[in-house]
This record gives sequence, structure tokens and C-alpha cells, in this order.
Amino acid sequence: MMLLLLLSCMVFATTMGAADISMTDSLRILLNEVPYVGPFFSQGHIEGKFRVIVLSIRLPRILLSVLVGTGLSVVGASFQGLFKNPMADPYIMGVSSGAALGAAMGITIFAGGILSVQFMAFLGALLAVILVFHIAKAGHKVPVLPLILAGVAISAMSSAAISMLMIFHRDQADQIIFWTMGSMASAAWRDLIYVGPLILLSVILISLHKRDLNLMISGEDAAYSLGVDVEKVKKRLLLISCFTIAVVVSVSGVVGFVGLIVPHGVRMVLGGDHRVLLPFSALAGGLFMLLSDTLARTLLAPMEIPVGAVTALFGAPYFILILYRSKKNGGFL
Amino acid sequence: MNELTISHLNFSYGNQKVLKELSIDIRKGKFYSILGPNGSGKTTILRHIQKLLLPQSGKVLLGQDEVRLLKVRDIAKKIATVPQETHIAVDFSVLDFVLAGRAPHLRRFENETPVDYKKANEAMLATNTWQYAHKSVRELSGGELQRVVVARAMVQEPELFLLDEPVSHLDLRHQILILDTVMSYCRRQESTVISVLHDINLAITYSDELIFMKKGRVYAKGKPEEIITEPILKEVYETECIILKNPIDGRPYVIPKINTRSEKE
Repeated sequence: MMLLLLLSCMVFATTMGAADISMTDSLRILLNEVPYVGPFFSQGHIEGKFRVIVLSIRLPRILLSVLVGTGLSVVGASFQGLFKNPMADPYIMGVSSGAALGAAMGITIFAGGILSVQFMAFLGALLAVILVFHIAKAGHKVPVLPLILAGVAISAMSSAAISMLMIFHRDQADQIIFWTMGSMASAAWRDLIYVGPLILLSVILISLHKRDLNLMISGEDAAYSLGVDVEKVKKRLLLISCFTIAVVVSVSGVVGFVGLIVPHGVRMVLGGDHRVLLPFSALAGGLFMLLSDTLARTLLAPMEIPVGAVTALFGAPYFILILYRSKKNGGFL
Repeated sequence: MNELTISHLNFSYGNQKVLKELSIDIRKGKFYSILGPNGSGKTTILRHIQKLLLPQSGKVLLGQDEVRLLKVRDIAKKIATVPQETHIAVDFSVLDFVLAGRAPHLRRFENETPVDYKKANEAMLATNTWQYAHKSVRELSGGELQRVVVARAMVQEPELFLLDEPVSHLDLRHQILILDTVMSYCRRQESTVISVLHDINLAITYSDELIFMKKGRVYAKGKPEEIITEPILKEVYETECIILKNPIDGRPYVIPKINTRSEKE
């Protein structure tokens, strides 16, 4: 069901944009590319430039935003289970900013091939999550407020460092700005070819821990006595998550709040069972990101709003709402 | 045959020695209770058995294997625990919660089979929780939840149950219900039980053997009839007690001597 909705939204999104392309035309263009059934959909009357717009501009961007949303949401869901804390989110916890700082350092100080930027983003993400976790930790628990505060502090520090880097390396400032403001505008097939499999792989790897996460949210000691090596699982999931965030940030920059509101919404509707939560977060995350990005590029077309601004517009009020609620009942949800 | 062998176990938190040269043999199929004042090392023993703590010296053997070298999953196939309290943050159904007891027996890619469901159903029937199967665990009362936790431990099919004050916060009916269920299950399956109980009379009623701890050592170990004596109780608890005979099972019954009158004055 959900998958169908996502697919139809993706098709619909191909029709949105500055150039006026009809639904049937873009469907024809897309289906023509599908092996075996392709030849049945003639391209006769469709203008060549429309084919280019749909296939090499809009489609990669749509796929990219779905992938980014999926990655962020699944990581968000796993963080929330891992820290037993509904506020855990790669953006709020400073992981995304850490990745951006790492990337900025990769661009300026350790200027080299594309790999070093990605690798630095990964290191930045990992360092940020370890720092935040240790600052916020009280005994065996990670309480809500310290987690957010530590995340804010790390974010602020990363942003400050990024600004400094931009001042000292003015010629590369444009490149860095891209990392700090989320955008899907640079989507291209050559990015998708390596980002797509990596994000899907991470999502699958995280999903393999669904049973462990289910056991862990009902108490670490209980999970342990049911055979979950809690510390090992935590480390493994943190590593995979940081890797995912680094990959996501490397193509989209920092996009906030997706990892927070999507799993949260899914949890409210379908419950907190990770066997349901993880796959639905993946789909809903893709959908949410797709809608946000479509809004971002069409609302003021031909001008573009940064997609990070759109998600924050939805996300920030929602964040405040959850915070307010959790203050009242102090529960997990 | 020994289910569990603890030999020359030493453990300290910082400077404080908690276990001193502790050696205990636990025989298969028996019900043991560890008794003793707070801080005598009871829970520390349980944590060593589960590998939640590693011995600083000495050994803990589960059957023939050293616990230290076993994988967490392999330990969970043999040992199930029932803690004092369980907090669950998510609305799992009782069935799902009990089914989670199969987790150590399933591979990562494996789903629960009809056999697993059958085992869960049997455990829910045995603990009289079957009628809650589709209720959320968060809607249960403390006693009902503890019965569900016992059902989950049973589904784990362990050789050894560790009960850490499993009935301390429950009403009278549930105290008896929980311990009865565990005892009859273990009799049937020839599983072993090690419990930490605060109520000495409950421990006497249900246990084949008692282990009295004092300051990190075993002070006395044996059948209730043999080791429940006034001098031992006085030494372990630093409290004067009177020992009567329980009219139901003929076992000893302990009443602490409390001079209520002098306390009021």
C-alpha cells in the first residue's frame, strides 16, 4: 500500500516543475525506460527536451530525495530505539553537523579526491555522536534534556568551526555552503549510482536489528538475558548510522528533523514495534522528503527554497509539540 | 550432576570486597534460594552467573563451560531471568512479548515458526495469561505483568532460572502463584532454579536448599530443615528469631522476635 503511494507520488512529482509536462506524458517517458514493456509506450508526440527534463533532471532528484528521506528516517528510528529516547535524531544530536564539519575540513584542509571528503564526513559524524552520547549519559540512561543540549552544543561548535573554515578558505566557501544548507539540486545519476546502493545497504543492515531493538527498548538487562549482546549491538548500530548519515550528508547536505518526525509519526499511528516501525519509517521518510523537495522546487518556481528550510518548517513545531508532551507524561512516546 | 559450579570467586567494587573466595555447587533440577542481609553479595552472584560481571579471580562454570567464554546468546539459551520489576515503554501485545522469549533460539533472518507460537501459547496457559494475549503489556497490573514475564522465561526453555526478588512487590496471591508456577514447571522440565528471596518463609516453603550469605561468603548451605536454626539466623541477620513448625508442610517457620511493647514506649 505504502509502497504504491510512494511510487505514485514519485510519478506525480515528475510532472511538477517549471516545464509543463502532463501526467500521461511523463508516465510514458518513465515506462518507456522499463525493460521489456518499454516498447509498448511510444514516444511519438513527446518533445525531446521533455524526455531530458524528466529522465536526467527530475528523476534523479526524485530518487535522491526518496533515498535521503529513507536513510534519515531509518537512522532516526534506530537512534530513538538505541537511546530509548524519542528526541534522538541525527540532526538534533549534532551528527549531521558533525558530518558537515568533517566534509568542510575534507574540502579545505585535506583537499583531495572525493573519497576523502566522504571519509571525513563519516569521521565527523562518528565523533559527534560519541561526544554527545558521553556528555549526555547519566549512568545507563540517556535522558532527554542533556541529549538535546549536548546536541545543540556540538552543532553550534561545528557550525562555528565551519564558519571559520569558510573565512580562511574563501575560494571554497561555495562548496562548503552546499554542505551546511540541505539541497537536492545537485542530484545526478553519477551520485545516485554509488549513494543509492550504500543507503539501501545501510537501511537493510539496520533493519536486521529489528528484533534486538525491540528487546532493547523494554530494558537492556532484559534484552541481555534474552541473548542480545547489548553493547555490541549499540556500537554496531552507531557505526552503521554514522556511515549512513555521512553518505546522506555527502549528497544532500544537512537536512534536519526528518529523522525525528517521520519515525515519530509512524510510531504514533502503528506503534513502536521495530518490525513495523523500521520499514514504514523508510517508506514514509522517502515520501516526506519527496514532498518537501517537490514543495521546495515548485512553490516559488523558478526560484528554489532550500529543502532544509521546508523540513524545518514542518519539523520544528512538531519537535516543540513532542517536547511539550513528553514533559507532561515523561514517557517514551 | 552439577548445573552450575562457582569456585573461589572473588569480586570487589573499588575497594569494597563483595565476594570472597566464594564456592557454591548447584545441582541440576533443584530449587535454591540465596538468603542474607542487604549487601551480602546475593545479586552480585546472579550477575556473575549471567556474565553481566566478570570474575576478578575464580571461575563460574555452567555445566562444563566457563561462563566467561560463552556468547551472550548461548547463555540466553540456557539461562532465563525473572527480575523484580519490568518496565516496558512500548505497547507490545502480551503474545509478542512472550514470543520474544524465543529470540535466543532464532537466527537473525529467521521468523517465529508455528512451533514457537505453540510454545508461547502453552506458557501463557500455564501462567494463566492466555486471556491477555492481545492486550498491551502496558495495560497489565504488576502481578499480571510478572506472570507474563514468567511465561516469557518459560518460553526460553532454560536449564536454569534466575529469580531476583521476583515477588517482592506483589500481593499475597501473586507471590504464591508466581512461585508455584515456576516450581511446577521446573519439576516437569528438570530445570534448576536459583532465586534471591527476601521472605525467608517463602524461601523455606519452595526451596530444596537454602544458601545463607554473609559478607561475601557462604555462611551455611543445606536443606531448610537442617540449617534453619536460631544461632544461624542470629548470626546471619543479627536478629533474634523463634522457629515454629509450619502446620501445612511441616517445614520450619521463622518469626523474628519483636518486642512491640518496648518499641512503643
